Amino acid sequence: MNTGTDKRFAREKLEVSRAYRQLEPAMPPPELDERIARHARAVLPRPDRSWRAPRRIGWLALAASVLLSTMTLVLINLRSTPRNVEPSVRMIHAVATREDRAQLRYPAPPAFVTRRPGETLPYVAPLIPPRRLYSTDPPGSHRESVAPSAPEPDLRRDPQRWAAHIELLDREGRTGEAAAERREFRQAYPDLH
Amino acid sequence: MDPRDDDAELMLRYQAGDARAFDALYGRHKGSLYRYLLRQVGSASTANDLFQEVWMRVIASRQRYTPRARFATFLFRIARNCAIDHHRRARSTPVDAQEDGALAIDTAFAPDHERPDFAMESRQRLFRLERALHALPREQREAFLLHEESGLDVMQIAQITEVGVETAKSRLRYAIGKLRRSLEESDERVAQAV
Repeated sequence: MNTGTDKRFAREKLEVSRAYRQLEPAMPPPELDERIARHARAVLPRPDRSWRAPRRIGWLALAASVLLSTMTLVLINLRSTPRNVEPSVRMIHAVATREDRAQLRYPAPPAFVTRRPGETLPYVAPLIPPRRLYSTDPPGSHRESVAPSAPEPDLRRDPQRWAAHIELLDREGRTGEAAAERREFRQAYPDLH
Repeated sequence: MDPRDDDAELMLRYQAGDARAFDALYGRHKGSLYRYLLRQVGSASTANDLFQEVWMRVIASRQRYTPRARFATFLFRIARNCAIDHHRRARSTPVDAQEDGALAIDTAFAPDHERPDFAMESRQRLFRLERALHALPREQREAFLLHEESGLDVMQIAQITEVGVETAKSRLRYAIGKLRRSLEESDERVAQAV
């Protein structure tokens, strides 16, 4: 084929090609696109774990939040319930008075009470019961163990206790008070001194 | 693999499981492939079926795909085989059905609002071109459509159609010559009308 024919062919081809390009650019319908794309994905191997991981993390987060809420509720309930028994020994904060300290020594009955030969006085209980520094009692119960100081009239009605009180005053060095008490004691109970 | 052919690269990525690569590949070739099939068979519904079948075959053969030639060559070879199968089936169908197909060609190519009676002169020209294209022998039409739609050269068209290069070139020349004459006739009619 000579050059002239080739040139004419090239010109005709260009002209026809240009006209052909003006034809309606037909395209496949969108539903066909979707169907093919879906099929192209369906034949691929299943997604690896990286796709499942978020779903699993979601379940774990849900389980953890449920567990945490349950634990929180249980703790709140436990704290609001008072404890009946304290298993461990607890310290009670109490201040012992001078009289308490004296009573803790468990003094013997005063000698001046036992005036008659061979007669012994019975054991005199302390005026204030000794406080226990350690207790397993519930909080606040130590207050009940703190006995109020004996009222004067009661003390003077009981000669043994009065005598013990005078003896205690003597031991504590409150001799003036002890002597005054002793004088009153002898006036009230002249047969006992 | 042709280093300039990134279509083959996309196909290899799809082979490895990348669905987006297939989307890109499909987007590049869907228009040209669809027009090739539509103008080969002349019926939109048949073209839809064949179009889907071509892509299904591409998807099914992804594991066996090796980039020995351009991806377009691979794709249009499958399309040609599907079209040939269709023509074989159409030959064995009853005459009434074939006439339905012929009717479908007319309606697909020239809706009423685009018929010469109703359209502009340029429309008439294009309509004649379209009719001339459809009137071409199948081999010549195939050569022309492969040349126009796939962008392949004569050698690649010869590969796809399984003929020699000179045969492919000859078919293309004949097709272009006939189409050119149809355009000239159209221009002469317009000139006479004026």
